[in-house]
Amino acid sequence: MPRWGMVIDLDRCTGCQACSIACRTENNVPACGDRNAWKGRAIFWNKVVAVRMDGHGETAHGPHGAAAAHSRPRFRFLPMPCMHCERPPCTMVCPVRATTKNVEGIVMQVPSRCIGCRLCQAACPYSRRYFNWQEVSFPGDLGQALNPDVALRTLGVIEKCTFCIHRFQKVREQARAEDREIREGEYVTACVQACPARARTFGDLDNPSHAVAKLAQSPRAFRLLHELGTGPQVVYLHEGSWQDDSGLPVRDLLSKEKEDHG
Amino acid sequence: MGAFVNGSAGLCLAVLALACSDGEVTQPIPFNHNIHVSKNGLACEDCHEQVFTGPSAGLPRVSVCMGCHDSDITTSQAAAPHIETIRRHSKEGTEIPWVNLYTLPHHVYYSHRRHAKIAGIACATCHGDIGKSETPPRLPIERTLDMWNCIDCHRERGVDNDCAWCHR
Repeated sequence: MPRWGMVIDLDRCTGCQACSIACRTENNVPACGDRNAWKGRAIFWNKVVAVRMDGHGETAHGPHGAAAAHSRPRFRFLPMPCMHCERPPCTMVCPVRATTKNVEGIVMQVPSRCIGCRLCQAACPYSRRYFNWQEVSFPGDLGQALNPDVALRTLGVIEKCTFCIHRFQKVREQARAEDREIREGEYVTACVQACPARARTFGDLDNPSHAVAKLAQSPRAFRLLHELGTGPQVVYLHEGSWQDDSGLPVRDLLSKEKEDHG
Repeated sequence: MGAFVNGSAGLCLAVLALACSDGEVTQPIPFNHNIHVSKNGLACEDCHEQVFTGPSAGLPRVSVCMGCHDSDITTSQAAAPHIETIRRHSKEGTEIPWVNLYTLPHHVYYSHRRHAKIAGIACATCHGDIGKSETPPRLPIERTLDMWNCIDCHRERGVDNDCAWCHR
């Protein structure tokens, strides 16, 4: 049984946001409008968080602020899809089983079953769950370019990254029809496919022949907030220590994210 | 006067809506499955061509009908006007506007290939004795089938009921 996971090489990531755009287009992620964006309600299944690395934190001084004149601002990018934890706190708190851990490792969300209690949003330590604060809308002609394989969500439900489950369903069916296992690279998510720097790798973490399994064993590998015991199936690669280097410890960064859109 | 016209139009619409609210529809051609399947031995996949290859089984293209009805194989007088309709569609290059009753909600991924081909489930398991019916189905699938039918069938056959296999 495969255990699908992703490796993201932070040293390769240029912060171009191609993954975010690919994800939005692939999964029909709605636009929230200016007002809701200001309230921190913009939905990003995959969000590239910019972390300021020159010791001034993210908000104390803007990139063009006074501090920038003295020290050259340095940013590092942290692309954050759902971590698809091995022991996901979100599925444990859902009162209606709208979110479940799949046998092949994908944390699935069924928005049509969701009652919008937002317990999962509170439980997720990575803030990877988003609530639909308004009816789904798309600016301009984007509403006519939706992916027919992904159902639109409605007002008042939670949505999140599903590792492009609709792609998986098709690939799995094809493999079953041909009576074989899913090959490496046959099932990849939209963000992995779009990454121009090839910072992302996707595959079966339990299959030693998959690149993702080898990379996850790298000495550069770390998992976000692994001390919580959630066991993320998204593994990051970074030279040196991420937390010492950043000036803003990753835990603070994530709690700030939570305040922003919680 | 204007208000009255609007009012009566509204009333007509309301009556129409009521008439349609039982969800029954009429197909453009009163297709007789019994003659085609039971008497003449056609298989489901002869007309619903994508049943083993795609998620949707598909409704018959006019060229499929014309494969047989191009020649005068039908002697029934009752069917004659409908055969004419098919030939007219063929001549004009248009498709028969079948009403697709068997559509599932968008958040469900149901694949005929997965069930009919890979698992080898007989069509009648979900569609009943449609091969013996003399009129086309009139009710949408959600009136005759719900998620519990899926769940029960999966349980009986010992198939995983994982949300992620069918929902998206």
